[in-house]
Amino acid sequence: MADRPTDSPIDLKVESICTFYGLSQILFDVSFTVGRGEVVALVGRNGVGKSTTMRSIAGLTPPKRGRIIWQGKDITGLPSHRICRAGIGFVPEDRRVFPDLTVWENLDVVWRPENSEWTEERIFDIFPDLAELRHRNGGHLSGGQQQMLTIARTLMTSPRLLLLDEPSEGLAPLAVERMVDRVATLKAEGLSIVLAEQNTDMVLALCERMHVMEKGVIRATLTPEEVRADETRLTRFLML
Amino acid sequence: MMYATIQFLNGLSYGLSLFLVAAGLSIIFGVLRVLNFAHGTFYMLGGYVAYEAVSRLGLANGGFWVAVAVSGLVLAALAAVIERLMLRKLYERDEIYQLLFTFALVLLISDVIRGLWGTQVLSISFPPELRGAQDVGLAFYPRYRLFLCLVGVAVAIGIWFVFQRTRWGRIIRAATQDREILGALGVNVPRVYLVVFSAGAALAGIGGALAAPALALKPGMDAEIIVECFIVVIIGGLGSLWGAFIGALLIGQLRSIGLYFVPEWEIVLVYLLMVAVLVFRPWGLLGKREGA
Repeated sequence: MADRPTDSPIDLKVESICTFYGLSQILFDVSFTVGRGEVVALVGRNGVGKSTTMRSIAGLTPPKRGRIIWQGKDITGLPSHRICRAGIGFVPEDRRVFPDLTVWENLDVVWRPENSEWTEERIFDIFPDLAELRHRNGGHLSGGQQQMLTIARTLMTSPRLLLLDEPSEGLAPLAVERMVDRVATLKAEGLSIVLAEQNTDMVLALCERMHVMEKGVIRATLTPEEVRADETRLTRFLML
Repeated sequence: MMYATIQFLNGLSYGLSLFLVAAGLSIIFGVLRVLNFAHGTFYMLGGYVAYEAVSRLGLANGGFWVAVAVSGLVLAALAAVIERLMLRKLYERDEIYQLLFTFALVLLISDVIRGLWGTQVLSISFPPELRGAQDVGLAFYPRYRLFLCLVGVAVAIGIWFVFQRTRWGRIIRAATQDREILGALGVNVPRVYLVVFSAGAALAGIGGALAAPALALKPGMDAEIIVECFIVVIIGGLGSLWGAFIGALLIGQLRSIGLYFVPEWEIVLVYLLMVAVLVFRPWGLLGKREGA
């Protein structure tokens, strides 16, 4: 699937990756690129391979074929902690906070001396609610707070690229709006973002372009302008 | 009253030395999810290594303490090699493979011990600084056993401190909760496993070295201690540090009370307590209920 040309240098290049869970193939030759500072969205219904694409890039479910190039280096098959240290921050779906660690401990546990870029203060600036909850256990937060904490925790690793997997999942409409604001702030900070998301409003508000996935392949690539001009171009993929 | 005090202290020192070994077993299970059958054998090897070191260095001038440290270091190094080269390959496999592997270690290390030190009973004398008895108010009590009590309490506080107050401890706790995500957040989880397995084995080795003057070294002592450790963690709850602490203290007291009142029932009482816990609280006194 051809990619749109962009002005910014390309940071992430996903080249025809095929990923399996056991014997069943989930991704079939998925390819796309992310330029520096861009937000690229993966859209599609549940089970089309969005999360698997994220997990493949993060090194949790490495692809069997294809390559993942990050800032010119082949990172395919590296252990996940090395991929993270190279600057790719994975924010999992389902808010996997460490439930028995406090908010502060959740952040502290991933801090590394060389990651001076993000400090707790700077994170609490963007997520002020978390500052008040810093001594509360992760497992005792509301869904929205846990979602903020998962993002904040990944930021502590000073990523250049964020893999955001379904950040709006299970959030009330108001919380989704706030989430859009926060992600927009991160974009403004210069972070590149891959956003796997079902909430069309969120995707349209944030992304440069979106890849529509279906049964493990990218079926179409659209810009928010194209979708706004003719929403059926997106909905016919999502309504099937 | 004097007799009761001595019985209480016997139970306490026994329980606290048991805790040293059970704590390592429980921590290794909590983090790696591996039930280490060889933990008692690590303990036994620690005793023999200390015997060897003492027979070369002598007991005086701190020789005993060097021997204890050597036991800890030898066991840490051995465990690191075992984890790195073998155990690591089994985490993704079914639990039965891990059990069989640690059981193979039991047989292997026991045979090595028989080959190196023979099958006769060996013993170490008490270090000169801790010989004799101490007036504890209501009775005189062996200094060395009082020292074992202090070590048990110090280790419990030390482990608690590391877990709650240091970054390393927080990382270990996070690894017990979600190792996949911890790895994706840049933490080298395999290295955490290596350190935890190694540290747990070092605790067992130190426990064996410290127990050596109080009891005799002989092949088969590993089976006795591992059974008691399993009982400790079943009563306390697998993976719970304070559970292991309370479990070990309970067993210590129960055995010394049993020895006093119903000597022929001493060990039966311990099993009865375990059965009661399994019936009424199968996840252990301080353990977490599965799926809760």
